Amino acid sequence: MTARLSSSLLAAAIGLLAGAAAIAIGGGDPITAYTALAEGAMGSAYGWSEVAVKACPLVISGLAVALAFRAGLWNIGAEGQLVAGALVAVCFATNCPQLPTALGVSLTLLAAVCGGALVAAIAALLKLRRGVDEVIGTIMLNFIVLGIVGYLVHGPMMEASGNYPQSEALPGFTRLPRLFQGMRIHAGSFAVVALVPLCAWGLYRSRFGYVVRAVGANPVATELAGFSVGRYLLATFTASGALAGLAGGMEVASVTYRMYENFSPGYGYTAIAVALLGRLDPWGVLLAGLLFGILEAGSMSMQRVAGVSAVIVSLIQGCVIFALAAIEYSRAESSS
Amino acid sequence: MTIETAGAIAVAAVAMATPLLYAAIGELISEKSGIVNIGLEGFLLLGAFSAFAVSHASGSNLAAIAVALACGAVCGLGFAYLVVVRRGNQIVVGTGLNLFAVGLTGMLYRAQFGVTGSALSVPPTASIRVPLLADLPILGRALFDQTALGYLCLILVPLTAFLLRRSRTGLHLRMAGENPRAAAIQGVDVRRVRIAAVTACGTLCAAGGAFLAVDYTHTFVEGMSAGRGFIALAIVIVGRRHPLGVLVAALFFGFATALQFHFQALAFDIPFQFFLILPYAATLAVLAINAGDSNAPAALGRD
Amino acid sequence: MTVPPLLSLRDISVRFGSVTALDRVDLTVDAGEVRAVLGENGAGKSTLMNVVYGLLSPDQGSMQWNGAATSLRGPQEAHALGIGMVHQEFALVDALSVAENLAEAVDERGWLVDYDGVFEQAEARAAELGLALAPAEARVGDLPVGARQRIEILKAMLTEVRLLILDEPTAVLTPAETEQLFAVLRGLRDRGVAILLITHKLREVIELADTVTVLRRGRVVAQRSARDSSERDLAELMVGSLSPDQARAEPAPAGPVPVLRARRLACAAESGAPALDDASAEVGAGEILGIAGVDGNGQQPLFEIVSGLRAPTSGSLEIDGTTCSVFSPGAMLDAGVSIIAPDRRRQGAVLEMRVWENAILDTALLRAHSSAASLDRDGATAFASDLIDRYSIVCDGPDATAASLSGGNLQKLIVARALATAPRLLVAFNPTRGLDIGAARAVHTALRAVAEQGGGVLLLSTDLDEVLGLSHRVAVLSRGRLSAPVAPPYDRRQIGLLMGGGDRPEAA
Repeated sequence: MTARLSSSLLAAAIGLLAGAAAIAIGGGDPITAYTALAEGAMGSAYGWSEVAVKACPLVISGLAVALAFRAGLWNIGAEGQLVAGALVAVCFATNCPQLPTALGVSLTLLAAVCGGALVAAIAALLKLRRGVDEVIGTIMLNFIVLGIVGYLVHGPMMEASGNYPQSEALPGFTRLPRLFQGMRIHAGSFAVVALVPLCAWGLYRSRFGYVVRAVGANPVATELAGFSVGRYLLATFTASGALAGLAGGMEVASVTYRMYENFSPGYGYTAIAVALLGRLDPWGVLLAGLLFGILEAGSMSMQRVAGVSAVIVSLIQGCVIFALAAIEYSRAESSS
Repeated sequence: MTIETAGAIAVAAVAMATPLLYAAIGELISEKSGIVNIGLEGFLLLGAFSAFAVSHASGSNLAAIAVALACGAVCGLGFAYLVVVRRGNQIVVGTGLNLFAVGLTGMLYRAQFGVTGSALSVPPTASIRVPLLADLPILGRALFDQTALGYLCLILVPLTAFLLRRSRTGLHLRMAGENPRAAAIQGVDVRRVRIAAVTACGTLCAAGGAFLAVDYTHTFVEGMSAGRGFIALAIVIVGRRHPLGVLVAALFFGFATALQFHFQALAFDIPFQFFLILPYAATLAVLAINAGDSNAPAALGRD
Repeated sequence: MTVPPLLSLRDISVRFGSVTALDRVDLTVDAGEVRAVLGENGAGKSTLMNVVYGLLSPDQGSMQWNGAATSLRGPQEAHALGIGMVHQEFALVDALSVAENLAEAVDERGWLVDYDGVFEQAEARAAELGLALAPAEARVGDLPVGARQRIEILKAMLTEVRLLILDEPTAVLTPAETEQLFAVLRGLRDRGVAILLITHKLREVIELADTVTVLRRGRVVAQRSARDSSERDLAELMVGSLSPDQARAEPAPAGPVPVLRARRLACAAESGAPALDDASAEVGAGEILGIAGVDGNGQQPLFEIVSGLRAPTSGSLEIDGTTCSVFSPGAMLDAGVSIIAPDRRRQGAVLEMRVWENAILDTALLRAHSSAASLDRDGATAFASDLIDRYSIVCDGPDATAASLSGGNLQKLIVARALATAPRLLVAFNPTRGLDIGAARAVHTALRAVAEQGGGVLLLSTDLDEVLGLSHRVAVLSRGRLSAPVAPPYDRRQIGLLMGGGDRPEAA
């Protein structure tokens, strides 16, 4: 556990250092930039609210990726599942008759869960029935989902006013309430806080999670022990998609309120970095999601104050992944 | 449809296919050696940005392309270091590379060129016109009035096919991807072969990116690879991992993309997003029908 | 002055940790001699060949080549001397053509490969040796195993070879292919090539070899002329003393229905693995049925059927009187079968998980240690602690990772888990391979305990001492066929003959 924590901290540090180096190469001042970033994200209540808003989709989709990776499934499709979840949620919410808010929101999120689960289940069935590698399958599905969204928001789903290629806004009774006036932090943050221990319980304390971990670590031994590995893979893949779908549904029901192209700024890909940095552990994912949430939220004020593009966050994420990939092996080497 | 329209579509199709083909041939070489590289998108971006930046600074597109190739080779070596030497997971490192490239190119672009509303442009690369042949109807201009990178790309296909089939390096590459144990018993340095293959992949991808920036669009836009790296991944599968198959698939997907631009002219009643989805859906269909990626090298993706 | 032998090994010892694989072994081979190295699984044959081929350097002893002292640091150096080897597991690339597979074996090394030239050269060499060669363009993976082996031999013979090592070359061949191979090898011998033939098949030794070295437990027990030997002599040398072994327990009274009844089980060969052919057997309640045999004679398919990993193509299987219709590990476990798989690290445990988690890696045990959806961690930990105590498993408690356990202790954990469900039938496949004596004894005690409590045990083992020492009855698997079981007192020589493929009705 300490070894894991320390290598995650090391990887995060390497990522931040690489980011600093890139800022310097680009002619900026890393200290000014990082200070602006930290103040923007953590220097005010508004900043923290933005951190929460950014961390919500990252943590939930990070959990989705972590769950799949734990079962040995390379789900690169959190992006597509997340967008599909949001899409189905919008379809439901914009066509739904007036309901009490609690019910409206719950059903909207449920619709999102189903959308994400459906896309993941397609990838899972392609893998289990037709031998289609899930890496390729999920990447292809990501783009298919994006294409469908493009078609829908330009066509059947386009808002009635026809001004922009986007859907109608979600009606009020399907929106997650915001917590404070003038801030975007929303009730979904509570859901995330509840989801992490739930996932941790599921992974470490439930029968299902036990088998999932066994399948991921050694499918051969698990099959010989009498478990139907295929069924567990299908269930886990679907559950992973459901979580990613929930992330998308929550985003649309609390932040954007509409569906449009480029709805997700790559949450599903960042989720892979979150899951890996969090060591595929729900609590680790929460911490990693918070870290990336801080980076995302603070990057805008870094852009304003220090003139360093917010997109540098992607570079940091990439370097964190490189560092983890390299560290992982050194550890495997020294322990064998 | 007029001949002019058909000719314009052909020109666009070949131009759209060229970066795809560079990336796909690179991936083909990498996969033949047993390494799957899902970071093509990142390599394309890095190539596009470095070519654009050098062209903008020096005004020489030749220098731009040379630097882009070098940049691709260096990043390819880095990728190889992580997956071959450090034995990092290939999917993980590829994902990291895509994120890294988006961040690096986006950050440097804004640092260098600011957030101007209008895109900066660089001088177009001179095209080389083959007399007579370029005047052929429909395909003439598409095939015989291209930039050097455009011609090079088409030459790359038979060249790769020849090298894979006839050269010793090609044999070593295939042995490393199919059965590294047998290759090692026969004295093939599997790691070296794989490092070389991944480096070649990075270089070729960067060439595709450079074509996109300085030969085709004459500019750089953040995220301009726009999923082409993933289409290239698909092309390798649909092309059954053969250079000629890859060529056909790349031209087909290039054509599908080109059709979008001429939609109004053609008055088809199909939403253009259909063509966006086509490569991905076709790949899934091919994989599902063939019950998996049956001609993948036996050791592909294994660490 | 006499001509020195081509190869001479003196006093070679190889140790792996505490295990002595080779103990002061001497071996000589002359040019134009076929020397067989005979022994059971684990006798040290492959270790010896790896020394000769430069893959292993001995801890002690010397090697002479043509009378000059030499030491090899790798296969490349062996090649340079003129030593070629045909590995039991071929070093061929299935997806490539015949010509492509041969291209690395020829001397010339341009940057372009002249595949036509390579194949012409190979064809000429093949004609010289009397080897039939598949077409240049054929994909190697599509060829029958005999043809693939000929390519492997040709690969070794394309450059000048003076000593050819063949590791169990006939294990995967049909009788007709074996005949062809022998003709080729005789041709080589007549041209002055020395041949080292590793085998456990008695008849091959008599038929082909000039001299034979018999290894038993890492030691040379005999060096003699093969022509003056009979199969019976060799069997005796190979398997050891002729004193009859007594099973240590009397057969328990058989119940009205046997716990396992296999009738005419068969399954098709899968990529070189030998098939199971018409195997019938019964295991009574309270009985240990031992299946002796040399590796690769059908143990794997038999194990896979009985553990539910694959379905037989024909024949039927009854567990405790119920005919199996679904073949999956889950169904077999539900029917009351417990498994001790041969590869404990890959098949028997999840090394990344903890001891207590591995202790309940079984559908029934997991059900017993969970309520509704929730895992009963305390219960499972207590259960694991109990197993640790009862089976004297040395580990850092139930929270230690399985990876931290030694092989013997991991196997004790696996055995403990298999017994915890009180199985009607325990299937154990090479349960003590690679274990020290203490751990092996603990495993044996556990197998006996199953029988004493009225369960049946199907023991598949390539260790003859183990089979004879534990079993109430013994049958022999050879070439996918199962002999009729025999009861104690066992005639080792008879069983050795059956294992060596000798004395079989169809061989007569």
